[in-house]
Amino acid sequence: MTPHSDTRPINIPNFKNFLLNKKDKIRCYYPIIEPEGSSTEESVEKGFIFEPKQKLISESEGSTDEIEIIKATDKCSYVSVQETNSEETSLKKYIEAIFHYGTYEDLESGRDSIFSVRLENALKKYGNEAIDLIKEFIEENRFNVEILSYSLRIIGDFKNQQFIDKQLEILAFALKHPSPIIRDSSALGFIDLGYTGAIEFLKDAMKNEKYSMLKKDYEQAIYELGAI
Amino acid sequence: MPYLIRKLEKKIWLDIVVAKEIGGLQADALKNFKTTENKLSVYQIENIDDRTLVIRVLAAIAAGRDKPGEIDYAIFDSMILKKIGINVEQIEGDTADQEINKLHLDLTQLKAEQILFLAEYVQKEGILERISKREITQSLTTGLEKGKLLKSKVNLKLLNKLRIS
Repeated sequence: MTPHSDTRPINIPNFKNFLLNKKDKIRCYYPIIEPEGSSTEESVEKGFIFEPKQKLISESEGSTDEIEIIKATDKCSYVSVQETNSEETSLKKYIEAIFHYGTYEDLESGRDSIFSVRLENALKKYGNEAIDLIKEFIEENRFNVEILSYSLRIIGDFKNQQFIDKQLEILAFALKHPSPIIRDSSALGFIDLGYTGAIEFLKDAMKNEKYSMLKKDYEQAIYELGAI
Repeated sequence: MPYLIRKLEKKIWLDIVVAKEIGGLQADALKNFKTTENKLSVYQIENIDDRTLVIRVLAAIAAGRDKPGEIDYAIFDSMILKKIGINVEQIEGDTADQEINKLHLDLTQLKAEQILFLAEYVQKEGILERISKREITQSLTTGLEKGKLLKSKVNLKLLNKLRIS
């Protein structure tokens, strides 16, 4: 039997079939397993997949991210699995999973979400590496514009001087994105970051911006940053 | 004739240039008019130039959020409601600002085509603005200090971020 090797949700009958071969080692994407192999309570509680967790995951303490799922309940509605012999880094898969499941959420500005909590945690833990991966997602339009733009706000709001260069880099990069939604969020991310050095990026962006509404927003962002 | 304030998720969705590019109101623009039980929440003001009141309305809305941040909004003439046959009910709002709650209206029994007309009207005739995070934060802080915002009704996470205990 061929293991599923993509990250799309599969339905439970397929999942059960997949589990028939107990020797298969698969990676579980929901609840999200961090690269260290620990699954956070938050993801288990808010996840709508496994219940109870103990019946599902046989995971040795301090093990790698390779886990063996031994039993799924009928309440398990979606799961994504992947062969763990892949050479791809687990951090990339972890961040991808956060975005992937974030697309199922109703993300609203000014509101926390499971996605925002997870991404903030990932930024705290993996800082520059995580930002690089998000930049890659934006560059490749890997996920929908809304979640990508929402992630820029989280990055802008993330206060850690250690990562400021990467934060500026990704926001400046996003300011040139074809999507006005992403450009808009980038400008807002600069305000959240509160770094006056961003004014130059915004001034540059104003010269090339074709939407007057966004030009006005950049102006406002420059004013706000100047006022800080 | 009173004017109505509607909080928007993203005003850029209503950009007229974007609309011209795709040949009409983009479908995403309707996300700014997301209904619950066919109702849409708006606040009415008498004077369109009363910026203090506009900011107070937006701060009242912001008081229910998890963190201070900018808010996109639209202001438009209420006569459109009559024109497209939208029912209006004066239902007191549920924000932390008791005065602002009295300005709250529910647009009720909305039909899909009414939402579409409303969105098109707001796009063409409305004023689409953004209030900054700084202004919202100031207004929230002042509102709490002056007792205009009922602390017990302000989002706890927001209170923590404003560092008001």
